[in-house]
Formats: sequence, structure tokens, C-alpha cells
Amino acid sequence: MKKTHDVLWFIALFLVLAVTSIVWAEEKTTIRFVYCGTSEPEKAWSAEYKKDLEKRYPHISIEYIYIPWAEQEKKIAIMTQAGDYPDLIQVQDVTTLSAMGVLEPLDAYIDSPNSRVKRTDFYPAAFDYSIINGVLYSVPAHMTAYGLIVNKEMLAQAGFGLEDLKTWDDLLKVAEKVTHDEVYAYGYAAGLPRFAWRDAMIAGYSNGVLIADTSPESRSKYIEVLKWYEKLRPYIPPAAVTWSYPDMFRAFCQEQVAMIAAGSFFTANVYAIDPGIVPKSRAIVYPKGPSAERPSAMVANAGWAILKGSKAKDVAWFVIEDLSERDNLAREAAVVGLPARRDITIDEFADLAGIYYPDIKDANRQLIEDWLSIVSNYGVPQAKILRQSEMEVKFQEKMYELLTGTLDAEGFYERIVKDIEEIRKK
Amino acid sequence: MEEGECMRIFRSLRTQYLYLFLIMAFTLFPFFWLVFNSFKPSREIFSARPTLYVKNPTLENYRWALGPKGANLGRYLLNSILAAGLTSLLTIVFATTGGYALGRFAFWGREGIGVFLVLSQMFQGPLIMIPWYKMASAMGIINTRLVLVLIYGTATIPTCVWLMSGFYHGVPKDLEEAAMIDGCSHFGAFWRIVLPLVVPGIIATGLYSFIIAWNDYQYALILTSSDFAKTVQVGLAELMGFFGKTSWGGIMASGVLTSLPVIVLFVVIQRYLIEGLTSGAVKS
Amino acid sequence: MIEKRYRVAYMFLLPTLVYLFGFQIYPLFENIRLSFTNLSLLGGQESRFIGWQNYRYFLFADEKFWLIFRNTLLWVFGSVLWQFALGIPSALVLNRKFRSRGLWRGLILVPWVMPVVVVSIIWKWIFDGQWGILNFVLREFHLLARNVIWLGNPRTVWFCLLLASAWKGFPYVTIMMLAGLQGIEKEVYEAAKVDGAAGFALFRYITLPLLQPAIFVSGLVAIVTTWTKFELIWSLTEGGPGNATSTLATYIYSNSFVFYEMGKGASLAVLSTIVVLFISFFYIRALRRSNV
Repeated sequence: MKKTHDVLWFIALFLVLAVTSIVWAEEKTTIRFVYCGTSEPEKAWSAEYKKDLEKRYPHISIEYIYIPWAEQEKKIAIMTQAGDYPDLIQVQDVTTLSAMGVLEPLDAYIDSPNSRVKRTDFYPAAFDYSIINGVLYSVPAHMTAYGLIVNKEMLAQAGFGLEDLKTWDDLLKVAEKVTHDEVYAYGYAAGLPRFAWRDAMIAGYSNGVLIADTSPESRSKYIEVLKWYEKLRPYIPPAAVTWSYPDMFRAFCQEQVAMIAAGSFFTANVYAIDPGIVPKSRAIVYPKGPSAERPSAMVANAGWAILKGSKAKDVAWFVIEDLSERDNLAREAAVVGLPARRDITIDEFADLAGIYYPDIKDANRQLIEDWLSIVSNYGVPQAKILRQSEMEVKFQEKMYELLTGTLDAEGFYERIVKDIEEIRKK
Repeated sequence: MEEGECMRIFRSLRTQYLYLFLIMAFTLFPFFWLVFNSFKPSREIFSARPTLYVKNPTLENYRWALGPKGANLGRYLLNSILAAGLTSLLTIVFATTGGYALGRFAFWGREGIGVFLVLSQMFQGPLIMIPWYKMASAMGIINTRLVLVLIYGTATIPTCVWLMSGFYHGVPKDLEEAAMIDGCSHFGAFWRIVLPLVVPGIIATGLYSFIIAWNDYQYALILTSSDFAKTVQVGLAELMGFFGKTSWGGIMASGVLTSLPVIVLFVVIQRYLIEGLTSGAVKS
Repeated sequence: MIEKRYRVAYMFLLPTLVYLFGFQIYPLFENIRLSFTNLSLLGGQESRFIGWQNYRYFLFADEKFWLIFRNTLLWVFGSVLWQFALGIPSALVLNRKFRSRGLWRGLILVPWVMPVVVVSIIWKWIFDGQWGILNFVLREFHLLARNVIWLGNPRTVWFCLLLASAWKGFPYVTIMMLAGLQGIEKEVYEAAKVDGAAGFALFRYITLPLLQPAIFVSGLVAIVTTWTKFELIWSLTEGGPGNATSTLATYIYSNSFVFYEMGKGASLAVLSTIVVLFISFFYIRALRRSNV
């Protein structure tokens, strides 16, 4: 009798130990996730996603590090220099971070046969944006397309329609008619280096030249772009030399400018100022310049990357795979932009976006359609340029002078070429 | 005895009130505009013509600012108050002692120390962030309020030592001598005689260090990473997101809420800034 | 007796020195070390010792450095002067006895404690060339014919920056002066009044000299802190148009965290510090001569 007791106790003990060891063995992996969507809807999405993921996979725990986009690079630079590496990070332009050597190449992960996410899931233009010198550094989540956004009512009042904006000359004709009193045709956020450069980059793409290209072959096209701004000058509000994006969007909302060169984050930005402008707006590809055969639109993306020093890279990749699943990606992209996956239909997406922008659901759908057609027909990956921020500063200085009439296009070209060459040498 | 009589710079009461009005108007008009907008729904904030009345006043922005789904300012305000408060106390302790030495003793190396303090003051800003991050990481205090207090101290202590030295300078000489003849220790003389005479200075430096800590954005941005230690300045800056829709009304309300605690604090302690504290000492 | 006093002084000073030394020595050392290298975060992590190259570059080769240096002097001394010009009268007013004085004293802090991000939005909107309040008001009163692009014109931008800086910084001066005024004994005023002094003369010959230690000390603090302030300028103009409003502080920031040239940024910080040391040295000397 006693012996059976012992055996039973022994078995019970064994079972207890076995169960405990399984539970103990299932350690939680904490993924430190740098997330840059700090506005209310983005934060809400991130909190929901965390809850959902942790419910489905209890051995993973997400710890968010929220940091605004503008400060992301700086903070990562400091953290990594001090030896502290988070695991997952939301990124847009990977040029600087990859040059700092802090991002893990993802080719091996995405090309592995077990990978749940494939290269072909995405729009090529958006996907290529994440590749630098043939190496993949991030997996896209949502994409940003750039083009010309016009206030169709203001255009109609001047007697023009969208189809009248095919070339630069067309735009000038429209601009002339639209500008009167304190109303201008073209809003240009020339006050900050980043936006001054971006607008010119968009114009450059439409003329087949990259504004970081200093080769003699591109000289004439480049000067055409600069001359373009000279011609636009009378139709740009004088205050625009101090404007940054919020100011430009505000001007557009108040119908003080009729056209702006901007991206698909348009809706998110103007919704906070005046949603009523969205039904009046349409997006078209930036009119083509004299030296281009057809227009092009640059496409960028925001996606997920893994840090080189991370101690949980496999789990981080697992989370990326999860984020890239159709429904998760669609929901994330609906908050701020366009989906990077090709298999998401416009209707689906417009419905999701309607959750965040309810009162302009239909108008927003039209814009989404506009943007996706721009990407399909004209989209090319936005060029990634090392030390672009330094070039932006030099560029904006000179654009200021050009817009205030103290510098001409040729002079601008000579000087900017010199500056860019110098920066390249570093 | 009319306090006003001592300082008859202003010929009449009316001039005095006029000056007050002008100064307050200048000081407050941007704040007034902020408060104004904080009660407007976001969409009305950007009307083309500035209006002098609020069409649909709402408390929605404040609710959003304080709520956990919105700006979650409640938590951040607490963090800021703790960090700034501790910094202030720490600074007062160091400044009253260091400033005493600097202000009343002509010891060897005094000028050198003065220069060292200025040097210390200059070492602020972007370039000390990487070494600080390393130090804090090694000590395991990243993302705590303690690390903020420590780094704010390096900014406030040199300055406040300087400031206090100026206040000590105005205290009549040899007061400690007199007290020590009566049997006080040096420290006792310091504590019981000199210190009460520089209370205005202590208030000023306490307030100064509180505000420096309260206003800081860059250090808190780098050294904190979660709601555990994040301060209100970082929380506020996060609201101006790049992609998603910004709640402008919420930002206005948050701006107001961020400014208020210090003002309230000062209204309460400013009563110690009154004449009469020093004249008492001379009599005795 | 003297020996003992010295010992007491050092003892009182010890905590401060230990604290500052302990926390500042490593960053200081790192900074100086970096300034002799060419560390750039974007060129891989190989940094080489390059001696005085960075310093030589800024002092002799960089066409922007001396402009930025002059801007810094303008920024610092312009701000501080305006802050005192506003702060001293404010302190005099707030020292008088009147109802709800406490409330007004609290409210004077508003510019100082408003968060910088919000302050810059507001001032940008005031100065905006298209719909700014300033333009609006000046045109309503027919003082202006057309909108002025305040922040976009190199001739008007400094006025705007200094105005915003004075607005943001004068409460600090007010508080310091207010505290300083408490230390002036009533008897001194009594005596002066008996001698027939009143109004402005009273201020100039009695109040001002007695405030001198407070002015001197808070002035130096204001100079040193304004020297390293970059956030206000950065959020209003980012140093533009061109480099018209770039100061050493913004230049250090852009070199370190926009261009990621840590070596260059470090050398600028060292140069900047040396200049301030010189200024402080002469400033302190000047006090010693006119010592009370």
C-alpha cells in the first residue's frame, strides 16, 4: 500500500515539474518597436495591433518606443552610438540609417521559402524604394505617391478642367488665369529645405532629371527645371518662401492657392484643417516638362526594418510577416496613406479609410483611385540620395534667392552643381 | 507705511496701472490667442479672417488632451512635475551652499571656479547626449525620472550657484562674525542668520531651475522612451505628427495645460518676494 | 582665521564641484576628443585622428563661420538687452502693492513657460506673410501698404527673432530683478527722499546701483544660456533664409544631427565655448573693477 502511495506521489511530482518546465520554457520575447506614428489615430492603431498580436502569440510582447518622424533618425543615431539597439523600427527613407550601418539586410529573410511575405506582393515602385545598392532594408507597409493636387472648382471657375494640365505650358496658362488679387495658383513650401527640395524633385521627375544629378548631360534639363520656377514666380504667393508643409496645406484649404505638389498624405493633413476641401480636390500626375516623353511620379514608402544589433531578429521578422498580412497592412495603411500591397482593392481600402475619414468617404475614395492610377501608370521609385539633407539646405538657400529675384537659373545651376559635388566627395 | 511710497517712480496710481496693462497685454496676447483657440473645435481654428468670438465653444479639446486615448497629458504632467520638482530641490541645496562660498569668501581660485561654472553651463546641447546616454545606460537609469533630474542638475546648478552668489553679495558683511561671537558655529550662523536673508534668491533660483527642467525638450526626448518617464514637452511635440491627422484644437488645449502648473505654483510662492525681509536683520 | 574661512568656503563648495565634475567630466572629455577626429556617422564608423583640421576648417576655410559668429553676437546681446529693457520696468511695476499682485506676478511667467513648440507655431502665425496678425493689424491701421514677409526677408527677420526672444525671455529677468529689489532696504529710500530725490532720479541713483549685483549676475547667466539656445530659432526659421539667422548653436546642431558630422560639430562646440569663456572673463573683470 505504501509503495503505491510513493509511486503516486512520484508521478504527481513528475507531472508538476513537467508542466512547470513547459511554462517556464515558454519565455516571452520582448520586441522593442520604434514606432513613429504619433498622431492619435496612428497611436490607436498601434495599441490595437499590439493587443491583437499578443493575444494570438502569447510568447511575444511588444514594447513601443514612440518618437515623431522628425526626431527618429537623431534618436536612433544616439541610441546605437551608445550601444542600445531596439529590435524593430518603422522607417521611410532608409538611406541614412543604412549608411550608418544600423539596419539588417532583409534579403535572406524575404527570399527564404518559408517566408509568408514575398517581393511580388507589393507594387514594384514602392518596393524598390526599400532597396539600396541591391540590398533590401525594409518591407513596405504603406506607400506615398507624389503628384499635383488641384482644386477643381477653382480651376473650373477659370474655365479649365483636369485634362488641361498635361504639360508645363498648360500649367502656366492655367496659373495665369487663376491668379488674381490675393489668390495664387501654385503653393510651394519653400521655407524649409526638405520641402523646397521635394517640390523641385517632383518637377524634376516630370522632366526626366534628378535634381541631385550634376552630370553635364543633364545640364539643359536641370536648367529647364530651374527656369520653370522662374516662370512660376508670379503665381506663387510671396509668403511661400517662409512656408513649411502645414502652411502650404492651410493655404490650399483656404483656397488661397489652387495647386500644390504633394503626396498621398494630403487627406490626412488637410482633414485636420478643413475636410471640406477634399471633395473639391483631385490628384493628377505632375504635368510633364519639355524634355520628357511622358510624365513620371515618384513613389516612396513607409515600412518596417530590423536593427543590426537586435537580439531577437527572428522574432522581429515574424512580426514583420504578420504586419505584412493583407488585412493588417490594409488597416495600417488606411490611417495615413495608400496600401503597398497590390492585392488590396480600391473599394476595400476606401471603406477602411472611411473609418478614419467618415464625412468625406466618397471624395476620399476618388482621391485614392487617383493616386493608385498614378502609381500604376507613372510610378517610379523615388531616388535615394546619400547626404540629401545637406544638399537640401544648399538648394533651399538658392531657391530663396531665385524666388525673390536675386538669382537666375544659370547662376543657380553653376552654384548648386559645385555644392553637390563637394557634398558627394565626403 | 505705504510700500508704494518708497518707489515713487510712477507719479500716480493711474500711470502704474497703465504700465501694468501694457506689460500684461504684451505678455499675454499670444497666450490669450492660445486659450481662445483651445475652446474652438479644430476646424474653426483656421478661418481666414481672425474672429473675436468663439462660435461653438467646447471642452472637447481638454477632454482629449487629458484622456488616455488622446494626448494622455495626465501622466506626462505628473512626470514633469516630479522631475522638475526634484530638480528644483536638488538645485536649491547645491546653489545655496555653493553660492554662499562664491559670494562671500575671497578665497584662492574663486575666479577659476567662476570660470569653471560658466564652462559647465556651456556644456549643454546635442553633443553631450551620446556620452550621457552611455552613462545612463551603464547605470541602468535610461527612461527614468531620475536621469532627467541628474542631467537637468548639470544645467541648473552652475547657473544657480552664480545667481545665489549675487544675492549673498548683498547681505551685510560680518553678520556671521557677530553671530559666531555669540556662540554660533559657522554653519549655524549660515543657517540661522544668512539664509533667511536670501529667501528671495532661493525663491528665484528654485523657480528658475523648475522652469528649466519643465521646459526641456531635447534631453527628455532622447533619454525617455515610454509613458513611464516621458515629460509633457515630449508628449506635446508628439502630437504634431507628420502623417496622421493632427488635432489642432487638442494641441492648443495641451499647450494651455502645459503652461498652467508653473504659473499656479508661482502665484502661491511669490508672496515670499516682499520687502522687509532684509531690513529686519539690520535692526537686530 | 583666514585659513579657517578658506576651509569653510571649500567645504560649502564641495558638493557642487563633486556633482559637476562627476557628471560633466566624461561628456567634456568625449567632446574634446571627438573634435580632433573626423567621425561621421554616415561614412561607416572608421574615425581617424586628424589633429587641428576641423578647427582650421572653420576658422579659415569655411565661408559661413564668421557670418554665423556675428549672428550669434547679435542674437545674444540683442536678446539680453531687450530682455533687460522689458524686465526691469516690469519688476518695478510688480513690486508695487496693489490688488491681485500675486496673480499678475504669476501671469508674467507665461512667455517663459509656454512650450517652445507652441510658442513657435504662434509666432510663425503672427509673422506669416500671407495671413499673419501683424500684417493684418498694420494694414488695418494703414501703416503698411502691402504684406511684409517678416521671416523671409533678411532685413526684417532679426527684428522678429529678437522680438520673440525678448518676449520669451524677459520674465526671467523680471523675476531676478524682483528678487533683487527685495534686498534693498527701505531706509535707503527714506534717506534719499528726505534729500529730495524722486521719480527717475531715485531710480537712477539709488535703485539701479543697488540692483547692480543682481543685474550683473543674471546678465551673465542670460548671455551664457542664450548663447546655447537653438530651439526657438530652429523652429522659426531653421537658420534661414539662407544662413541669415544661423547661430553657433544652430550650426552645431545641424552639423551633428542633420549632417551627422560629429567631429565637426564637436569642434564647433569647443570653439563656441572658448569664445564664451573669453566674454565671461572680461565681463567678470569689469565687475571687479567697479565692485561695490
